[in-house]
Amino acid sequence: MGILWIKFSKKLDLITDKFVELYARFRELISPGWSDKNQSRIDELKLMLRAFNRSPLGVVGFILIALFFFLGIFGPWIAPEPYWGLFRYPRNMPPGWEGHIFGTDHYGRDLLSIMLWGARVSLVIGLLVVALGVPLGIILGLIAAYYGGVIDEIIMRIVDIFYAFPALMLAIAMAAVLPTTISKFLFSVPALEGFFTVLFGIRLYDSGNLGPMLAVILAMVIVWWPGYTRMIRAVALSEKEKVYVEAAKALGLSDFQIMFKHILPNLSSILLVMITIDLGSIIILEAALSFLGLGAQPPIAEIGRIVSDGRQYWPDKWWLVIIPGTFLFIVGLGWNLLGDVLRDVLDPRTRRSIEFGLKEKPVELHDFIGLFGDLAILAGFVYMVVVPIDIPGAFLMTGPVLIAFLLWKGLDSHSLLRKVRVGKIVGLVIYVLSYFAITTYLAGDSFVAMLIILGGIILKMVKDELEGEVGGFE
Amino acid sequence: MSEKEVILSIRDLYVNFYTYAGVVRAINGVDLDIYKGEVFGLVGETGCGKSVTSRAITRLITPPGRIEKGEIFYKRNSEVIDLLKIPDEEIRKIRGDEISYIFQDPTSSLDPLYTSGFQIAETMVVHDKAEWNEAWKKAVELLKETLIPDPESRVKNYPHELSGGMRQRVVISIALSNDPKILIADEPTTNVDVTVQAELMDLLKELQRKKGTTIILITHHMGLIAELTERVGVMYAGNLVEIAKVEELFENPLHPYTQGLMAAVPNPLQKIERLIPIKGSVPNLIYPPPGCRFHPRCPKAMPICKEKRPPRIEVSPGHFVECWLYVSEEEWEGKNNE
Amino acid sequence: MAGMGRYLVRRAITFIPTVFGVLFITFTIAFLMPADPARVWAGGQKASPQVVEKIRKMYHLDEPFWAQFYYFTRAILTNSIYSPVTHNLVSEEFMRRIPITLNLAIMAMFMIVAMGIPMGIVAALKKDTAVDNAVRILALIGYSTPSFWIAFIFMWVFYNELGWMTLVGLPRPSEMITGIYILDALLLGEWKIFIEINRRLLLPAFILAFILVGGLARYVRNTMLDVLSADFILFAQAKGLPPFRLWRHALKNSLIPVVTVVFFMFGGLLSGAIITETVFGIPGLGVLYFAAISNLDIPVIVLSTLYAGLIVVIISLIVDILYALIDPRVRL
Repeated sequence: MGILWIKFSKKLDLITDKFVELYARFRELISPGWSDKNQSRIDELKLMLRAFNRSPLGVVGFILIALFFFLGIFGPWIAPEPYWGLFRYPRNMPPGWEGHIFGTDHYGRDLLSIMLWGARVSLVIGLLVVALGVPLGIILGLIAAYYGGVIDEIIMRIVDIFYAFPALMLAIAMAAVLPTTISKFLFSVPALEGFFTVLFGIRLYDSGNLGPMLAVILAMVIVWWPGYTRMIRAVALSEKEKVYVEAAKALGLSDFQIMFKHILPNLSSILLVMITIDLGSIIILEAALSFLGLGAQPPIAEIGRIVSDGRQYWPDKWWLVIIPGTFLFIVGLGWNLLGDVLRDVLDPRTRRSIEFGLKEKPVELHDFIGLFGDLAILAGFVYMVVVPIDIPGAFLMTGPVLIAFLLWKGLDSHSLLRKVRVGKIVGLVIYVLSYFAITTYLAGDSFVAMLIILGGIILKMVKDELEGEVGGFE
Repeated sequence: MSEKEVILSIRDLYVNFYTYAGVVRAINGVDLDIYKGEVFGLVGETGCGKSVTSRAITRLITPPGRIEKGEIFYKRNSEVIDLLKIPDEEIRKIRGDEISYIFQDPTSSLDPLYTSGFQIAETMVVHDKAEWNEAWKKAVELLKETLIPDPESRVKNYPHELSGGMRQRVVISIALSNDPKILIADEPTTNVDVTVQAELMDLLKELQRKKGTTIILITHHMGLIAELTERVGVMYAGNLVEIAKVEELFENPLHPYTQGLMAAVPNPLQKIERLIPIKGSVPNLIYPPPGCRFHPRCPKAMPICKEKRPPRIEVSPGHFVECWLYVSEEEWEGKNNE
Repeated sequence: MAGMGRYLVRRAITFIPTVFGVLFITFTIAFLMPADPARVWAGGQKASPQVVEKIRKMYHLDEPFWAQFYYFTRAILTNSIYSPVTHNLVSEEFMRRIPITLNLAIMAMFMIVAMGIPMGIVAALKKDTAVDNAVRILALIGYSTPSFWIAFIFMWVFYNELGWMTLVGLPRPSEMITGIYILDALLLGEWKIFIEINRRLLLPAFILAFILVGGLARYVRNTMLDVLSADFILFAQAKGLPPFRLWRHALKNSLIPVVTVVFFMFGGLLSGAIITETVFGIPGLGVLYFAAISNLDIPVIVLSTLYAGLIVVIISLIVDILYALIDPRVRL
């Protein structure tokens, strides 16, 4: 199994590599010269995807989610029948009845079609909750962490208060309370009404249902943002202590720039994982709300609603519960698998279980290789050393190369990496200072640490940057 | 040297770490003798294997690390035992009793949920040295010995209530609680204030003088080495490249790495104009350079250095070095044919 | 322990605004209620305007937000809130139902802890093996399972097919000692009733446990791994501590975060079992809440939400006190 999977995943590598190249070419089209400048980012992306490919669970999760997106986007077009064709057939017919794969539902509609319409609603609700809740959580979390003091105290008290309510209960209460207000507002802005009907894939005729649907979304946003605020605050607090924030302050950058341009990017991987996992929970919670009768009302297709309409016939007409329930389970599992594996891929501490099949690129004469670390790691190294030395063919090189060992005081790995990105990565060196150095790196910035674990970074350095130090290499 | 009694002798020790990036060959054939009652210093850059060597002595290597092979003979009263071969329960009894440790970071060495007194007393109780009541009393005495003010109330303090220096004193008290034969101090002063550093070192020196404990001091601080130790071992990338008496090492370093080290750090015995960094960097221990591990950075490297690992040569009595420079032509041939 | 007292005082000071915040938010929810509740309570469209007006006066519905908030808070403190739908004192209604929900939550929590903690410890010790992976997959399945779906499946297996379970009635033991049926039945030795209670509640409790157990196991695993790799464990080993003492240090340090999670899970179970209670028709707080939503029974909705919030706030207070007892660092 293991070996077979590795073989298979190497094939996947080809696909993901192609995909990244395509993306690079696309960026190149928009702004010529992009891929030259961002070669390192392209390579990072490729490696990350390769690490992901090594995990069968992750690939399965990805496939499930890709399918879900496909159904969510195209469902209304694929669906053989519209959701508003009530009582076209006898009610509650079993799967396979007269060619209806899933049978018919409580309202005498083709169940398969209803599921396809419902997938769109599920997907849109999930994405909207994230799109509204996450930014709110991030902004408040960053503000709390960055300013501290009274502002922090107030924000965190509010978070505590929201945390006190059980998620489902608060969501139910909000979803029950909000619809009228939202409907009123929506009807006063026809453009918005039209926009949402298209988004949810419903008829304008059913736009009365938008209120309850958006109420469910808002209810979940209210339930969800405090989690993000707490997490972002906690991570940002530790990030704030790092040298680069101080450096940025000293350089006179504004608070806004520091928070959003420097702290936030370092939280991107943790955010990505959290959002992925939460999307699963959101879709299940939304189904639970519609199971309880909140949100859209028939004829709008909602998965939770199909279950609740079918429960009175349980277990004789099992398909009314099992089919939509299983769909929800699979979607939820897909998000959770994807998120869990992403966490492994993005967190260097857990990545050890994933093996890399890195192919070293031969380094050519006159390539400049930069290896970096911070001062703590190289405590034994008392002084800055910038010297060209000769590395034997032992570990990867085909010929003599020049190495520049760079140790910039006061620069953490992240900002150093930014400098490095200006140059051009021509390959990767497996370069590990020692086992203990690895553990020290692991504690640091995950995204960058990953590269360091893979090795140092080979880059074409900006020449004059070095010439000042060592009097030129040529 | 032979008249002195050897208390610990490490033979051909290999330790590997099995990481996902590959096998890190952290300790690569170390041979070392420690004499009874001496203070032995172990120096080298971060990650050269000093700590790993010291922890391997009582098999404190946790996965993914593994002791590959080797022997560590320990002279216990009159019998000699191999610490790598005895049962787990036996080595447990030796740890903290006959061989004890001081780790680098006192903050993380102490369990935050127990009082300092408990942690000291516990060490005595588990080795059947005392009952709890008595152990608590002894803990107070030990803290007094390590010059903690007001030891009666300090035993009731939790680690977070103590300053960094005091925490390290508690750690030292733990290490000394059973009157160990060998004390392994792994960078004991790196994480405490400079002012406290000197006090702690005086304390160790004093204790060593009083009780005649054998101390292995691991540090990259050359000042400490010069001040405290009698003999010094220099480690580089998992190899013990040079062993000598401390004066000899400072006056006449033989290995090019030691010479580089002396030039790169302020030498307390000499006045030097300028510090010269050692070129290059610590090698990757997953794919270590073949032959002598130092050769890529060595200013005096010869062709053979790339091919074969140098043997250990006793250049003058008690002064050992692992370097081809000190192997004569005839011996070269001999070694080559081995 | 002087630090302890000061800590408790400080903790209590943050407790009060949180309770007030909870109250405020629940009331805001009620205030935003869209339909005209007075009309609904009076009997819908046919209601006579006089009755509607009377109800409106009674519940102060015609007054501004702050005045209503004041009356509401006062009514809570004097325990004089009646449900306009059932005409019962809301707090009495709660007291009737709390034992049932508590019973379900205790059974579920017992299963979660009894299975989750050993599973987590084993997964930590057997890291990166099949056992560890199984725990991981179990946790992921738990997170992804819609409770109503799994409830119907289990109901079919254990009720329809095997007939082990029952879906009606809930026998009471002859006396009330703790007020929680299952414990009382155990204490009184009334085995028949004990078995009947299990036949009624074991399945829903198991479903609640099924969803959460993997999560707890994985949390225990990660905490254990963090603690086991801590320096002080290596130092304790270097001190020559025997294995059982090492375990004591490791477990005590892992305990703190795990206790927190267990308590909050319990709080969630007390108030979040709405779906499971609805599906199985268990007359607990969840069903009361669900019914209140359909009837626009604002006092019940608000008080339920408030009580649920209070439970969590009180639990977090208890957790913090426990923290202070276990972890000296908190007592600063």
